[in-house]
Amino acid sequence: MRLFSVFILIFSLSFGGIKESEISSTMQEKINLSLTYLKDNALSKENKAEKIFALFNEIFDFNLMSQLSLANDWKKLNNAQKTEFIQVFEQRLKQSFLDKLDLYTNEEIFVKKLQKPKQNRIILPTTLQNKDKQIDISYKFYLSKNDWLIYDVDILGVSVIQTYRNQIVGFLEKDGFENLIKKLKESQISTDE
Amino acid sequence: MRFLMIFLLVFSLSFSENLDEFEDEFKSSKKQDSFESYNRAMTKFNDFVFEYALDPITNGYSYIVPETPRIGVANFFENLLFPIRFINNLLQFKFQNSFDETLRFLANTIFGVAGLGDVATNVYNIPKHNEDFGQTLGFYGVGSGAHFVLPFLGPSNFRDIVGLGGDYFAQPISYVKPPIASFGIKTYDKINFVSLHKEEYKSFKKDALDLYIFLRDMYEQNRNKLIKE
Repeated sequence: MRLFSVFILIFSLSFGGIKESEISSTMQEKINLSLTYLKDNALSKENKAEKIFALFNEIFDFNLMSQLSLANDWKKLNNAQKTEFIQVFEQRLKQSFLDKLDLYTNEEIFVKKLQKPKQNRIILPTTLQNKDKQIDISYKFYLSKNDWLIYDVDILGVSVIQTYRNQIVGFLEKDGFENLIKKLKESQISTDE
Repeated sequence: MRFLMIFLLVFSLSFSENLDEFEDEFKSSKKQDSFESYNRAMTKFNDFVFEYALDPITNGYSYIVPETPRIGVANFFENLLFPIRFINNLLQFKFQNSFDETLRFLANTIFGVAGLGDVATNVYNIPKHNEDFGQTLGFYGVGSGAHFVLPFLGPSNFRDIVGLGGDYFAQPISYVKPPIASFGIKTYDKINFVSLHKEEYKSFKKDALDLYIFLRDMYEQNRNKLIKE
């Protein structure tokens, strides 16, 4: 039975992405839905986040994102550490998104034209119209088997993964893996204040 | 536990093939950070100034002045920076952008009541093209040089510090006499700006594992993007 559920899980994971032709329309739809949730005052912040995560969970490849943010240090970890890191890192990214919800004040998001810099990479640029300026947010997809998954997000040209990578390299060098996990978890708790 | 191992095995297998490609994409040009210890100290100082001076000052200011007029003030100052954008778009042969900027300036100055309202964006839909002297230097191939954190102004690098000199002479407020008045107006502009955007800084700060590296990276990546545009 357990083996069976593993199969189901793997199966569902590998089919989580979107087809190339549907990236724009699917993302537009998901973004529109997110905006409806965000504007719905009857929902609590946590409820909003939960609903939005449910929309995007299947197209974000958190495993790959974790792996990329550790760069070469990934190979030095044992399997238990890898699993722990993926879990903590995914939570951290979600927590950071949850915090950002406080900043939301009725902005609109516009989806722009897809770019395909390489055969197996697609970038979906979007613009968020803020109080007095526009914020460019790009979703970066890669081709995983036959479907497309998000492996990074650029905000104003700043790659989330790249920024984590550069911080983590130095952190691991100085403080080691256990402290990194502690640090990643720590900020999750402190956000409750 | 066994479940997790299987899980791990599966995805590590499925990604091992194309991971090198990702590594190339994220490979950071290992730049020497010659001023790291100074930069770290200055980042701490700036953050201290933010927490203990700017934050309380802007709280008081926001309490007195509602958000709408503060956005108006931000628009007003932004409109005044028109010469910087105009000149630097020209210097980079972006003639259409310079033209757009001219239209924006006229629209905002005339119909936006001296630039208080950004009608160019909200009514006429004329795109904004931010360019400054640092970006122009980048456009002509000048490298960023060492990263350098400026007191009060925050992250910068050698190229952009040179650029700031150009920006200084291209903005009308620099010519206000006496110099102390000019400085006062610029400080007010900054305080007004911070009052609108400080929550973003606070929120992003929470994401940092190492505040200095985090801000440095954000700055350099953002500047590179702006130069490429």
